[in-house]
Amino acid sequence: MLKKLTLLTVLLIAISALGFVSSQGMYNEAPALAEMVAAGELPPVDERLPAEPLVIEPVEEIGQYGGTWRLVDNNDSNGWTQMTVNVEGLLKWNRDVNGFRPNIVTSWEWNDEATELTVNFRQGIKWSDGDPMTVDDYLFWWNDMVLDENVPVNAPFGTTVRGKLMSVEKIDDYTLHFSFPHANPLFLEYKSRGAYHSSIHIVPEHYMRGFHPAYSDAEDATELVNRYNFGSRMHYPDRPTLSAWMTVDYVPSQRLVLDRNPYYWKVDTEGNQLPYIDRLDVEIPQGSAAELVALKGIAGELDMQVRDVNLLDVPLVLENQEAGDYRVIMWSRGDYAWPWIIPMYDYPDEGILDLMYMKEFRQAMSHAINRDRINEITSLGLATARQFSLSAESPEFQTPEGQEFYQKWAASYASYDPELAGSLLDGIGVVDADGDGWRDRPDGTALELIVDIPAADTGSIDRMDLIKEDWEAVGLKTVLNIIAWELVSARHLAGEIMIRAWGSAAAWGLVSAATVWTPIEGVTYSVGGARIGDYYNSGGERGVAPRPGSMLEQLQDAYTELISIVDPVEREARLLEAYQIHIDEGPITIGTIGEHPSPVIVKNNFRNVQDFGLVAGWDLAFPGTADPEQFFFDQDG
Amino acid sequence: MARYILRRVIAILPTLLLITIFGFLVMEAPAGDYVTSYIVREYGHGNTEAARIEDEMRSFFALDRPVYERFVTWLARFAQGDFGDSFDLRRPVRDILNDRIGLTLTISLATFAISWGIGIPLGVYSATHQYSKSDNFLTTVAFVGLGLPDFLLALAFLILGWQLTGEVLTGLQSVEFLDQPWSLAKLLDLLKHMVIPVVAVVITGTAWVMRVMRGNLLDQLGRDYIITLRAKGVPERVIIWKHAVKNSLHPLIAALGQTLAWLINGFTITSIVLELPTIQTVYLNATLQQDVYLAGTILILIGFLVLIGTLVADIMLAWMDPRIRYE
Repeated sequence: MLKKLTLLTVLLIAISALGFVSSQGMYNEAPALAEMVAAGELPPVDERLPAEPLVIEPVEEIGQYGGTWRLVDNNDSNGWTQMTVNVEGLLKWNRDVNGFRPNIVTSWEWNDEATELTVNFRQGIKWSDGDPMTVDDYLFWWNDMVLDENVPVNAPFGTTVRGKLMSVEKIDDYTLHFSFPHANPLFLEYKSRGAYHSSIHIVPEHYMRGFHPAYSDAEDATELVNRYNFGSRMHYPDRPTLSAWMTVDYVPSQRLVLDRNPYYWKVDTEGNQLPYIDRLDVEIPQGSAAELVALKGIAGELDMQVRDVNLLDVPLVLENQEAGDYRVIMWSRGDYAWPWIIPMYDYPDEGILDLMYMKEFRQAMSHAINRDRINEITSLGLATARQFSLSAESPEFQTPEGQEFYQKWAASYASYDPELAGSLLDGIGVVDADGDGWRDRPDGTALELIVDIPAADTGSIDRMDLIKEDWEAVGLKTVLNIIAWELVSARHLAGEIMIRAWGSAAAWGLVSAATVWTPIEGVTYSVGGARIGDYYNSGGERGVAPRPGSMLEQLQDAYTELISIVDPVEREARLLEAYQIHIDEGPITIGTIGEHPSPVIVKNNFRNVQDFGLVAGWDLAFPGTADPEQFFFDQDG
Repeated sequence: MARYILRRVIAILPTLLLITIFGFLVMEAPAGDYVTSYIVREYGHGNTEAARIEDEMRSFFALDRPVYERFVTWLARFAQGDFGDSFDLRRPVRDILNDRIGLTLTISLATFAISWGIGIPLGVYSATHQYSKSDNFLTTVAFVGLGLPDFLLALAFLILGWQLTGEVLTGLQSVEFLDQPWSLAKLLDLLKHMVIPVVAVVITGTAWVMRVMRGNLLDQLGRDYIITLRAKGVPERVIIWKHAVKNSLHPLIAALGQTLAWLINGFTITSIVLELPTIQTVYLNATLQQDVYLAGTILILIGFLVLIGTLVADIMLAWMDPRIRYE
């Protein structure tokens, strides 16, 4: 009710201020759209908007319509672009990523056990071709794509609980009822991350039907899936969207052009339909984007570029600010480490596993690392030396207790102390038995640490080179295995890796990538090894079991308990208890340096960009989370 | 001669088949396949349950069939002009190559013509003015040109071009001309963008042609038949261009065999650093992603061009040098 009142007040002000234009309708629109309306090519803006459009508060000021936003993506999957325009899930992260706000969904209700959920969709949203969006667009995805065996679309994370599928029921055009076999209180949050989850699950049924083998003369699901899959969904100019901008031209591997969606369902606080910016002109690089971004950036040819601005290019980028007429906003990667060093507890060598499971061994590896030196040499001293203790911005760390806990975890075993490392190793019998200058296993056989790093991750390679020096200084022989990323991944999933160095990444308690701190999924970024996570995820059918009573098993048990806790306060407190295992038995994954600043190049006339942003995690979907629909070009100054 | 050519042409087919089989096997060799890398990429985006449809995906792309079966099916379609679809770009391989072959050949033919067109006369000049100041100068330049990789030159030119024009001249076309029909403005824009890659590649190319030409010509100029010609009072111009140069062209002609394939396979790193939409960049990415049909088709194309090029070079050598006979 309060929201309605505010909206009404805003509208009244807008109406009185704008005189006769507004006397014809409640909302304003871009001049180009107004012309189309006048020419009868488009219905009036009031008819295009929902009864209650989502009101977006501008970051600095009410914007002006117009302009083309030039940016560089990283490849034909258009991931960077999708994190800009397609962050239109059921809910949406708050701009500071501390919790979620309504988006397509306006309200929802759980039962006490968190097994039944009723969700209300915003009424009157239209697809970019003017067709109304209803819950049928979600149900088509679930019933005709996920559940249809002829369509290779998987049931995504959160739609299954302990291996059993959820069920969905339509109440009316704007209401859905979800039932889960077990408590699933974080369902909406899981579904609302990034440009991936519900942002792609709501599909234009009226359009997709034409490519579905069951409803059209399509021979197989190829064309349907191409229009759905993340990697190709932006390539079809005729495909309706709910996003602020829609594809109008795609030149494979070269360029993607998006124009404003005339039916976009958000307005600013003065009733101006968003987005402000007319067009996005996206260049798709042939190889790596970093050089292109640096050069085009300093030449002033990019209006806002969030990713692929190298940290080491910062001096260059800062130097040319005036000439290129841009400013540099320092967002953060929000990463807890770059690299994070994952010892694998599924490596097929029991002698190595015995060592890995010994916390003294891992503590020695951690204390041997000179993190400050790495920071100075590879990150211009701009990063933070720390333990693997998740992202500092995670919501559970925002309370005073959370802060205190975070500090403790971040500092644990992170000091540079080669002597301590040496004595820890001596204490567990990892000594130089044969006098060749290298420490050996307790049984006297040779010990060699083998670290796999993808060749493309030069950041991790540079830093692991220094860590190799540190480890070898305490007598641990180290080999860096730098190979193609595809090969690392394949080896990783097959359990052939002893230690993996991963690039920059962010993770968020239970909602985003929990598997980095508790092995619950069979993915390459799972703590302790993909097969340990897969063992949990498959209920013991596949994968490798953690050793009984080990810290890995403790973490899995803690997770099982956590995800069914309905009360968010209790859940958060218990979450910190689970993290405590990483301190008591830690480090389990070894952190190095993190919290890298992430320079964002923004033209001086490109406005309404907030100072906060975290770009490492796909789940956090910046800049989409910073509401690009209210970015604008200041055409006066 | 005609029989020889016919025999060589017939031999092309089995050789190509061997190349194709070998190429296909090489791409099968690394662990995993396209679906594996697809799933890992999906994890990256946040679809952490993608492995659930691993088997479905594999049958979707027919990757669950044994390798020989896939190979034979693909080859049968290939023979009918259907090169298959790229897994990664989700487009027919034929379309991808069609999009790129024109620009690729424009760049490489221009580069080829210019570097040979300049390299041969400069080489001749250098040889006939051996150890003069201008020869020393050209030789120094040529060594620098040979020593510097073309991609490094390309990067330097890119920066230089930006400082001179204020424009970053990557790619082969300003974005506003992409997808537009050809016009004078579009042609001029293409020429503007071609300057950097062509000049960079021409510098290294010319240096090579020049050095080879100089060396061979010097070799010829010391021969007895040249002394005889001089003694007979044949004009120096005729001696050099009609007799000595003609006889010094052998190694260059032999190199033509490789040049044909180079047209779609040369200067790959330059293509990548300059963002050129050429076949080279697709080929590299396709190989990295185990996009087998795309990479396989390009491999066959390259193999085919090498074979044709070698054949043409052999025929030209025979035609130019009566001593060479194939029986």
